[in-house]
Amino acid sequence: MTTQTENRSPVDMIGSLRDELGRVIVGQKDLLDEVLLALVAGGHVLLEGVPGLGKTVLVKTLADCTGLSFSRVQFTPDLMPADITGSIILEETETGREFRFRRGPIFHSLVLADEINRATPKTQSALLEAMQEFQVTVGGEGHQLPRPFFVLATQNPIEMEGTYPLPEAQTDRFLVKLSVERPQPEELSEILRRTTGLKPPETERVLSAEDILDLQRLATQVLVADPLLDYVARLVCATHPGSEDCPQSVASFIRYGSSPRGAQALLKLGKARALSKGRDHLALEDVKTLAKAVFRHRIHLSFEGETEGVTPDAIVETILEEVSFEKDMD
Amino acid sequence: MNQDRRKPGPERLILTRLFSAQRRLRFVRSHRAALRWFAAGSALAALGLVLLWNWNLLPGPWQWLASAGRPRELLWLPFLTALGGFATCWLVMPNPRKAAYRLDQLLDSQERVLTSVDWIFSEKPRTVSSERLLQQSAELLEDEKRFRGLLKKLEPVSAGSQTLLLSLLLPLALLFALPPHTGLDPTAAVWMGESQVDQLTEDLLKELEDVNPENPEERLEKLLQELESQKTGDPEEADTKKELQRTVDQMLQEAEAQKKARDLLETLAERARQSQPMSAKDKEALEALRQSMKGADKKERLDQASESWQQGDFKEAAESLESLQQEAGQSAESQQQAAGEAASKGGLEPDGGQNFDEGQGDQFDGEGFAKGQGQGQGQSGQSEGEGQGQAGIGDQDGDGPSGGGAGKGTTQEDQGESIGAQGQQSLRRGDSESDWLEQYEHLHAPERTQYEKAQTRVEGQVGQDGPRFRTPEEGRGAVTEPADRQGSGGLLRYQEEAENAILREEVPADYRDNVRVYFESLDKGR
Repeated sequence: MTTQTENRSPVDMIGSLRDELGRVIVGQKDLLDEVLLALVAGGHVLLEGVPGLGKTVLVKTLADCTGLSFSRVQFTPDLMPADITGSIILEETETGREFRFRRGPIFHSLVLADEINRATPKTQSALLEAMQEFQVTVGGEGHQLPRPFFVLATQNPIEMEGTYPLPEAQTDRFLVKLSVERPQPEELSEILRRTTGLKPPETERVLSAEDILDLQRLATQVLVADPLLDYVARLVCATHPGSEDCPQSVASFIRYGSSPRGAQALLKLGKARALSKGRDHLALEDVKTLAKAVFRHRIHLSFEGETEGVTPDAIVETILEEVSFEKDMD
Repeated sequence: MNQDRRKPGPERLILTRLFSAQRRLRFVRSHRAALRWFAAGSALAALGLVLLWNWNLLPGPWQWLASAGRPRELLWLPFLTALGGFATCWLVMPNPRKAAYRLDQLLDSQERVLTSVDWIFSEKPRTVSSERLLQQSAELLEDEKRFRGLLKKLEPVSAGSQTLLLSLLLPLALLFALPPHTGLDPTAAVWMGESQVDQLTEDLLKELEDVNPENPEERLEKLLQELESQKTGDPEEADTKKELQRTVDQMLQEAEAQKKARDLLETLAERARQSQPMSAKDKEALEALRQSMKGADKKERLDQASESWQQGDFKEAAESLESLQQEAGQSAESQQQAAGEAASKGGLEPDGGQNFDEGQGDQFDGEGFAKGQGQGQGQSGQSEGEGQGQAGIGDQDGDGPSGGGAGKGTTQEDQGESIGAQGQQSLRRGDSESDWLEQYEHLHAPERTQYEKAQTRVEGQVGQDGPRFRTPEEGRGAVTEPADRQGSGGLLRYQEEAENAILREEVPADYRDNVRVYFESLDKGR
C-alpha cells in the first residue's frame, strides 16, 4: 500500500478522483460514480451514447488523474486483431534478423475502444482474453497486460448501419453498461464555458496505479452477509424466464437472463460502492442501486419484449420490486 | 480491568440486543396472530349461532346439533382461538437474521447489524474489517435506554389491528338479537340417513304383509248393506258383523301401511332434496313403496321420481316424492275415517280390536298363535272356539280369508287340552267375562294365569302376525294332522330366520355357534 493510501481513506481517495474528474466533465454524476466504481471493482465499462457526449474526454481525464498509461483504439471494419494485440515482426538486430513481438495498443492500463461495434466480430473477440484473463496470447506466447487494466468501450446506439453488435460473450465481460445522457441546458452552458475559453480546465494526478490496485484489494475485503449473497443470487435467477423467482409480468419479455458472471459483477461493484461510502460491509442499497447497470446488457429481450418497447431497465426495476430480500429469512 | 469485566464484548452485546429484538418480534407477531384468530373465532361463533338457529339447513347427519340449542358458551370461541393463535406464534422464535435486519431498518444502519450477526453465527474468519464492523454494531446498540425505546417501534401493532377485537360484537349481537331458540320437538323425525330408510322400508313391508289385496271399501259397503237388510237378532247378523269387523280392521291396517309409506316417502324426498345419490337401500325402499301403491298412475309417478333421482335430477325427484307423500297421508286419513264411520254404522265399537286384544291376549303367543284351541280353523285372532273338539273340524268360518291363528295350538299339550270341542264362541271383541277364560284358568296353573295382561297382550290388530298362516297349507290345516306340525313349522321358520340373521351378521360372531347349537339341539329333540 502506498503512502497516499495509508494517509487517506478509500472514501477520500475515490472522492478526490471524482472531484478531479468533475473539473473536466460537467454533470454526468452517476456516470462518473459508476465508472469509478467499475475501476475500483476491477471491471470494464461499456459506454453507450451518441457521439460528442464526452466519452473520450472522460477516459483521457481519468488517465490524467490516475497517471495510468492510456491508449485509444478507433474500431473500424477493417481493423484486425493484430492491430489491437500487437504482432510478431521481423526485426534487424545486431546479431541478425529475429522475430520480435511488438505490443499493440491494448498494452496500456486504460484502453478506450471507441465505437467497438464497428469492428468485425473477429476483431472484437481479440479483446475477450485480454478483458477476462488480463493477458494476450500471440504466436503461442502469452503476454501479461499491465495492472490495473481497464477497458472502456463505447458504442453508438443510433448509427446501426455497418455495425456488428457485440456478441453475448463479449458484452458479458463488461462489468457494467452505462448510458451517457445528453447534458441539460445549464450543464451544456458550463461545458461551453469551460471548453471554449482561453484556458481549458487542467487536472492533477490524484491517484497512482498502486493506489488503484490497493483500492481494488480493499474492495474485495468488504464483508457480505449471507442473506445478501442469497439475494443477489435470487436476483440473477429472477432474470431467467423459467425461474420461479422471475416475475410473471416480465417473464414473457425476456429471452434469456444474466449469467453467473452478472452475479459476480453485481457483488464486486456493490463492494466497491460500499468501500466508496466508507462501509466495511455490503448493504442492500448497494445491490439495488447497481442492479440496473449490471443487468442492463445481460438481459436479452424476447421478440415480444422488443415489440412492446420494454427496456431491460424496466425489467430490472420490476424484478427488484418483486423479489423480496426477507423471503429467505422466514 | 473491572470496567472491562462489566462491559460485555461486542459480540455478547450484539447477541443480547438481538435476543431482545427477537422476543419483541415474537410478542408482536403473537399479538397480531391472536387478533386475527380472535376475529376468525368471532366469525366462527357467529356462524355457529346462525347454523344452530337454522339447524334444519344442516346436512342430515349434522341435524343433531339442533339439540345443542344456542349456548352462550360459544362466546368463548373467539378467546380460545385467539389464545391458540397467540400460542402458535409464541412457540416460534423469529429468525435472528431477520430480527437483525429489522434492527438495521430501525437504526438506518444499512445492514450493519445483519452483517455482524451473520458473521457471528456463521463463524466466518475474523479480519480487521469484521472486527471493526462488530465494534461499530456494538456501539450502535450500546445505549440500552435508547435501544428499549427503539424496540417499541419494532413492528408496532397498528390501531387498525386492534379494532379486530370489535368482531366479538357480531356473535354477541346474534346471541341476543336472534329470536329465542326453539328446541327440537321430541317427536320430530331427526334425519337419520339410510338407516331410517331401511327401518321405514321394513315397517312398510311388514304392514303390507297384513294388507288384504281385496278392495276393503267395496267390501265394507257391501257388508253394511247386508247388515241393514238383516233383522236384529238374526243369526246371520253376527256373522256379518264379524266380517264387517274384519274388514274395518283391514282398512285400519291399510291406513297404517299408508302412514308408513308416507313416512318413507318423506324420508326419501328429504334425501333427494339434499342431493344424496340413490343407494341400494333407497332402491329397496322405492320398490317396497311401489308394492304398496294402488293405481298405475301413482306407480308411474313413483317410477318417474326414481328415474329422476337416478339421473341426478334431485329437485324433480324430491318434488314427485313429496306429492306422493302428501297423497299417501291423505289416503291414510281418509281410510281411517272411513273405517271409523263404517264401525259406527255397523254397531261396532270403534276400538273393538283393542278390547279384544286386551281381553284375549293370552290366547295368542307372540307369533299370534292361538293357545289352547282345537285344531279347527277359526278366524284369525278371533278365538271363536269354533274348532270342533279334538277332531278339530272347522266350521264354515274356518274358511274365511284370513283363517290364521285359531286352531293352532302352540304346543302338543295345548292341543290336548283344547277346549275347542266345547264350541264356545267369544267374539273378537271378547270381554274378560268370556267362557274360554274361565276354562283356561280352570285348566292352567295359577302362576300361568295370574299375569299382567298388559304385558302379554298382542299389540295391534288381529292377525298382526297372521300372514304366516294365511297360506292355504297352513290356514286350512288338515283335521287329522297333529297340531305339533304347525308348531314345528313355526320353529323351522324361526330357525331359518335365525340362520339368516347369522348370515346377515346380525348375531355377534361370538354368539353364532351358540345360536347354531341351540337350534340343532332343538331339531334333535324334535
